[in-house]
Amino acid sequence: MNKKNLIKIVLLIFTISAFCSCEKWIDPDININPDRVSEVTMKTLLPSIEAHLAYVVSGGSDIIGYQAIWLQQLDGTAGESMTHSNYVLQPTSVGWLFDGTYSNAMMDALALIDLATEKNSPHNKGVAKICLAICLGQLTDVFNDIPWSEAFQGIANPTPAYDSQEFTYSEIQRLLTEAIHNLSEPNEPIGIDGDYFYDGDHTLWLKAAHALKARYYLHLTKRNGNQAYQNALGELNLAFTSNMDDLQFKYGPGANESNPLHQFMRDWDNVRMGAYFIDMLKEYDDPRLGVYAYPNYNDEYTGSIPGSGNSTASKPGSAVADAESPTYVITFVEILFMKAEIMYQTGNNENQVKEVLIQAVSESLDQFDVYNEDWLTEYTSSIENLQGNDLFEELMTQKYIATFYQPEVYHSWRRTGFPVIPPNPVGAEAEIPRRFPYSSFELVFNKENVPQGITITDRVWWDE
Amino acid sequence: MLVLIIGYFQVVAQSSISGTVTSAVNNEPLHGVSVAVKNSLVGTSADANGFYKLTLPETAKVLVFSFVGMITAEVEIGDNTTIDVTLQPDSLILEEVVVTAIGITREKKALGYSVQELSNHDITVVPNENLVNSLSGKVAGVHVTSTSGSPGASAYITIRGAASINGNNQPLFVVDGVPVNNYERWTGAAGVDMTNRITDINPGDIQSVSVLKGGAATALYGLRAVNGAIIITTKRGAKTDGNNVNVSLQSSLSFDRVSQLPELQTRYGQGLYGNWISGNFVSWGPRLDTCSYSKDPGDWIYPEYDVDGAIVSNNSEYATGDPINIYDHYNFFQTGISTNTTLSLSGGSDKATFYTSTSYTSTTGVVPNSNWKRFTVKVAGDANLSETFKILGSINYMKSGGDRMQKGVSWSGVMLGILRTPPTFDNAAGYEFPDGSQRNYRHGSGYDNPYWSVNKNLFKDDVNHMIGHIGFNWFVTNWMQVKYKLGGDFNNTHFKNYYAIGSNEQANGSVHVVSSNHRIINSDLIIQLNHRFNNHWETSFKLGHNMFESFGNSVSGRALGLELPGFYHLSNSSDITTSESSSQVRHAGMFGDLELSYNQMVYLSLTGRNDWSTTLPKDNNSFFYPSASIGWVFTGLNFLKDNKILPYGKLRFSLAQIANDPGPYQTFTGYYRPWIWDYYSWVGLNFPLLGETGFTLSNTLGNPELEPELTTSWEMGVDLKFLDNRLAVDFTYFNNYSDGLLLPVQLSGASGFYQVNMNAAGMSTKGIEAIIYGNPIRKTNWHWDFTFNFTRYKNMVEHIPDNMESLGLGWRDPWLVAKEGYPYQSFFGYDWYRDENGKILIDDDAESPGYGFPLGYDTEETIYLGKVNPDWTLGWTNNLIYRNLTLTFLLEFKKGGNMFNGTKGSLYYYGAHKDQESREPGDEVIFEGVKVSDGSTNDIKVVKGQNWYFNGQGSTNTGMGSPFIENAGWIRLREIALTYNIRESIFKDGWIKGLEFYIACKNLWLQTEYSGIDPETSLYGAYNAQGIDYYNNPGTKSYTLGFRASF
Repeated sequence: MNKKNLIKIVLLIFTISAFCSCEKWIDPDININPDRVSEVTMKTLLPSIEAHLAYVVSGGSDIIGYQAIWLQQLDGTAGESMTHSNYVLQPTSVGWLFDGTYSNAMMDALALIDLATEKNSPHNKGVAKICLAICLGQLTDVFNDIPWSEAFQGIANPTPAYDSQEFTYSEIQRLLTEAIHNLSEPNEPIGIDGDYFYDGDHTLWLKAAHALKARYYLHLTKRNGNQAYQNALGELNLAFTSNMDDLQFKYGPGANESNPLHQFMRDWDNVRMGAYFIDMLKEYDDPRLGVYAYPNYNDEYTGSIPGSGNSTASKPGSAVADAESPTYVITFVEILFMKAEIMYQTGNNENQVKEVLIQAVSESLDQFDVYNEDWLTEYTSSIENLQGNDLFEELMTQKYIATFYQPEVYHSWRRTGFPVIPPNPVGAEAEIPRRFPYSSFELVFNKENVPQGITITDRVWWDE
Repeated sequence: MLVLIIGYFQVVAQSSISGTVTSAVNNEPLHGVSVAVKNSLVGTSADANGFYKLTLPETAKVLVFSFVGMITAEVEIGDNTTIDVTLQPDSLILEEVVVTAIGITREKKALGYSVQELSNHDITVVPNENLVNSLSGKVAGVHVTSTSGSPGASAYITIRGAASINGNNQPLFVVDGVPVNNYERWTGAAGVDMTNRITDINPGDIQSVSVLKGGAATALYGLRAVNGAIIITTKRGAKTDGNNVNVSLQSSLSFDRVSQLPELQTRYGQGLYGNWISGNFVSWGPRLDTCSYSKDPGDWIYPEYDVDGAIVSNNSEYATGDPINIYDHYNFFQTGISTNTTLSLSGGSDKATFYTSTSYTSTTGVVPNSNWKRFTVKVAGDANLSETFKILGSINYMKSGGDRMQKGVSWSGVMLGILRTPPTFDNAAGYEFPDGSQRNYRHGSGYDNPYWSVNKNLFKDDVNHMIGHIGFNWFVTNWMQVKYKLGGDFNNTHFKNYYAIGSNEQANGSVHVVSSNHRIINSDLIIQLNHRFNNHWETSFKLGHNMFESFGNSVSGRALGLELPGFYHLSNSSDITTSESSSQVRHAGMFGDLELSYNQMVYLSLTGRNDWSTTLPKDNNSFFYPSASIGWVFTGLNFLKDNKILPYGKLRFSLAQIANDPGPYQTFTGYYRPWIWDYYSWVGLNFPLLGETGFTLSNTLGNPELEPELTTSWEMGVDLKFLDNRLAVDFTYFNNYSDGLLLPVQLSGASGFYQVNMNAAGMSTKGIEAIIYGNPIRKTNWHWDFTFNFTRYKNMVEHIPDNMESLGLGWRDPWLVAKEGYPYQSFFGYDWYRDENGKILIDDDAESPGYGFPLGYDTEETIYLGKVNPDWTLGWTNNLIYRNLTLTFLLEFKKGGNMFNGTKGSLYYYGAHKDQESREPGDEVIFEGVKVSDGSTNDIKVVKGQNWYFNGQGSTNTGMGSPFIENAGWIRLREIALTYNIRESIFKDGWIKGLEFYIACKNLWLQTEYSGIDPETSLYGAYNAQGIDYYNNPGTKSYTLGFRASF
């Protein structure tokens, strides 16, 4: 073989390998992320949605936690929580609540709706809509105006406009009505899988939808007056009928499946019971004291006064801060309180109102396994002479106690002003805050649309 | 195919040639001169008498005589059977050959761009376990930041600043032509100091390091070229006399001490409001010289924690009068010891060479129980299978790993635990009670006692690493050469990170186990054609083909909550989450390189490379990168030739376009397993959750329109050598503009996504590099030479998307960001409220708790506070030789550059810092500023005590981070070594050929304004988020003794 041929061979080998490489070596399938999947099932979407809905939206330290401190049911005694006791809340502290809920729970709920439509599963569609409504409701109740009509479009609309709370409320009711319609469909071939809340029982979801409609109608009492009570009443009768119907998320004992407040206490330990709340419970000799709080090192139940940083006070108890303490989204007890309030405001006989009040308190004791017949009897006689505004104040105070660390307690307090909580005298604001600031991410990445000049003492639309 | 080629090699007619080679300096014979047939593998080397003999193939035309430090001579063979040669000295070192891209060696003289080389001596004169640290201060344009003094800690290296905002800014590392993995695992602001994989290589095996600074120098690397390249060539062995084998043994022993630590206060005790409170988290308690102990049970409630007694005022009822013990928490640190031994054997003949070595390095750190070990074995060789075909190969096995300690924000972080402890609490008096619970200054909660951390919460890693290659060189004809090399870098890393039950970071204990594999496979085929047209023009053309793959996968298991104490195993928990991940990238490239030279005076080089990458969208995955460079040795002009003052001068200019491809999978959005957490969760909810499998849509939107990041770079420079190389100056100006930089462009969360990666930003780096070499004394007994390596550049963010104010690189308050119009890695933070004249507003409301203090800080806006990059750096290396003694030292200067002293900002909250010893009436200060009400100069005296640092805005916990940005410039004596070389003459014919002893120190002296640990530190390791110190593990200085022997 001579040199010329050799050279030709070399160049041939070179050219062949060059071609081979580009075709097979640069295989576009390699750039498909093996750690991601492009299509999922309804059964795998629903658990993600529900977990975020419970752990963050309905029980998160960055929403319910702040509210509990403001209402002095808890008090921040160290770290950043102390600043919350002093009525300072930074936009960075609510950024995750906002961004996470939109891009996780709500985005997944929309995907679930699409998937349910494709697979023809009205029940799943209904559940997804209820979850959406709850997220919307919780967000607007603390943020007032939020994006909705232009949201969820990704790069097509990276800066969605903000809608009014009035519009958001009408959308919440629309979603719930549609959900009720979906869940009322008789033929559901697929069934609701991956459902932590009700294990697929669509009748309970129906009840929950009505309960939620009632709650959101009732929020508008300052705006709609009597109409709000009427609308709510209409829904109440189709809502929960016992504590077993509660929309609640039950956690597990393990470190990564446990209650958010439990995890907060385990990892930060920055809050204790609030003095105002403990004093109130002690005054009532309330049987729930022992489950709402743990005795402190002196075996006493004490609370911390806002701004005092008293970390020797009692820690939150087994009802709300154990690993398996459930997060309640909306409960039968809340329904009863709504009913009592509506009865009072629509001119019913006050004795009937008291009956429902007693029933509500009784069911609350039952909910926490501290039912005490004697105490109830005593309590009943203690309120015998209450009437008029005093009765209403007592009613709302009992609701405050019964809905400790639940989503509704802050909304009810804002709406009615009861119980009357003395603001922290060393707080940065003269009064207890009425809303959250806007998310720090929104302030930067959606600058043109975020309403400007908001302070945390501003009132949301239904609170004005 | 191999069979084919070997079959071709028949025996051809041969003749022989011989002769003697002498040096023109002293007419002595030159031992070891390489005598080779040009463009073939046929060659030999001259013996001790300068005599050589070669059997020539028929095709031989030219003999090439070369020797280090002498000018190469090429002689036409013609009909001669004897050729004697006298070689001239190359005092100007013009024939210096450097390794450039794709393993191509070229004469430095012929390059149109700047390249700097370091020899084995340069990087091992003072031994470092991480070879990246050995590059600091020795190469202009290169900036190295060591992460900490922890054993096995990584180091961050950039060449000519950063070209990418969010992507990788570290150079490509190439070992013997194989691109290798320099990955360091990301641990965020907590975790341990990790190792970058290049540290596995034993620096003793390195022959030379060639630094290609980017632009035209690395253009042949295409998609990986933009950050420059560090080309490492390992030892291969050389021909030995007779049947001897060269043996070399080196060993050293080092002692490490902590270099610099923040000063702590020792005047005040644990507690608040001047009261001693057992278990309290801060040190705002009583003045200790007014206190003594009480052991009365009414006072002494926690004897198990407060072992010396309760601290009460001297006039309290049960005070014993015993003075309060002050504990020096820095007694925690120990002297670290490290040993390093390398044994190598090498040798060869005219036809083959081999090199084999083994080494062992073991380091214990200044933090007790921290350590790192490395064991390596290397075998390399090459053999001429015929006169025109050589095969070569190498295998290097490395095993490394250690026990590492937590740092930073981790509540098991060693520094956090040490520094926050009040001066009266003795951590060393015990960290664990018989029931297994923890003893620390916060009654078991808060932060781990550092003794608990180093004994109970370990991070253990074990790496098995192999780098190897196989290849051939084939001289097809005497004008065409084919080179092929197939190489790979394989490693498996296994680590286990555990926390004991009762630790504050993981109260119920936890175990995290990860096993990951990574491989790189690279294939380079080059066809090289040389041609000499006439006496003036020479040309060389290279055509190349490359295939590259990087593949990694890992499996991990995490157990949260352990059942049995002390058993750190995944079976010991009911709460286990497992996960897997993998990643793969492939490149293919074709490149061409044309070199043209005229008269050995003007050199022109043009290159072009086309790359295909799997990380780019299918229909747009091919890109072309050209470069051009020109060098003009203007002293070749007739009127300048042979002048004595400036015997050598070259002007150079180059221009290139190079790129960085995106990471994989960025064109894709998909679903993955969710992690549910609220703002405060460390753990949150993990899936599978309560029996259900869940998926959530990714928050990052994929981008099907991605393009690579493109950098246009040009460089011009001049090389001058004066007066017989007594003085040499190498000056370069470079200008890089990078565009289409990939950024996660943030969207409003309400869009359903947080971000989408887009080519949306631009950055520039402009600067100068100057290398000045001087050799003032060059006598037989005395020699002194020095080198200055000076670097100055500006790395600016030219543009980022309009809707982004900045891109966060790390930390919050202050923020380390990339922001348009500011240097890359700038600090931004809040500022005090000021009046129109810029004076701080002071609260003069007598009722207010902040009376006399700054009114507050504005959280609406942030201001520019400084940048991480220095203004300039200078490394000054000196070699002084007197007979057998050599003194080498490297003094480094860093001017400017800021660091966030987060440790100090945090310690201020705790009342733990030395600055806070003046906190009582009598220590009043007046804040500079003007009064709010009337604008008059502030004259209100205040005491900076708990009211300011704890209840007020004086610390980073309660206030802002801006006051804690400090100047992190320094001057340091990085290396100093005194070596005593026992000259060969003593050993003449003995079995020891050479022996030298040395003592060396690293970081012996540091002069800096920075008030924390050694400011060469990085919380986030070798990543873009530099300049943050928040309870980082400290730096060290070391003292080494060693010897190097050859047999």
